[in-house]
Amino acid sequence: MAVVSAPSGAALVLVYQTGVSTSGAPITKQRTLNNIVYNASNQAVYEAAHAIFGLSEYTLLDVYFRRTDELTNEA
Amino acid sequence: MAVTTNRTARLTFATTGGNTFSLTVPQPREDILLTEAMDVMNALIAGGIFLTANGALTGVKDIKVIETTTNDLYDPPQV
Repeated sequence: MAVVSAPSGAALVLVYQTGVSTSGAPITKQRTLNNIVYNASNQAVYEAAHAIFGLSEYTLLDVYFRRTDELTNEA
Repeated sequence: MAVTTNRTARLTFATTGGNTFSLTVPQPREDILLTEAMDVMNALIAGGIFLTANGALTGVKDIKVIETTTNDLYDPPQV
């Protein structure tokens, strides 16, 4: 009985700032882009995120590369 | 309450399966140039990090900047 993991998918999560609240804290929103290649390089994903937000007035704060593994129990 | 406007850019790609895949960019800059948008899209295609259910991205299909205006006439009273 051993549990093994297998690549299941990946997503790119972009956190960006849309403004500043009355108390001065940044207001952030996040976008999740699915359909990302699991084996994509960190460099390529980071560059893509910044390329997309180069078109926007909003500032990209954080980039998360979320890889999902599926766990299965091998008998 | 107020009239608000919301702007997005929709970048549409062609995929290997003959379908399309689109990506929206919130609040695109006012001074955005076609060449800039094309460069970003071509970089995303070259980067090869997207893999849709209908295959990888192959080309630029469409670029639109969409502005929606909302006139919020009524908000419930705050308790």
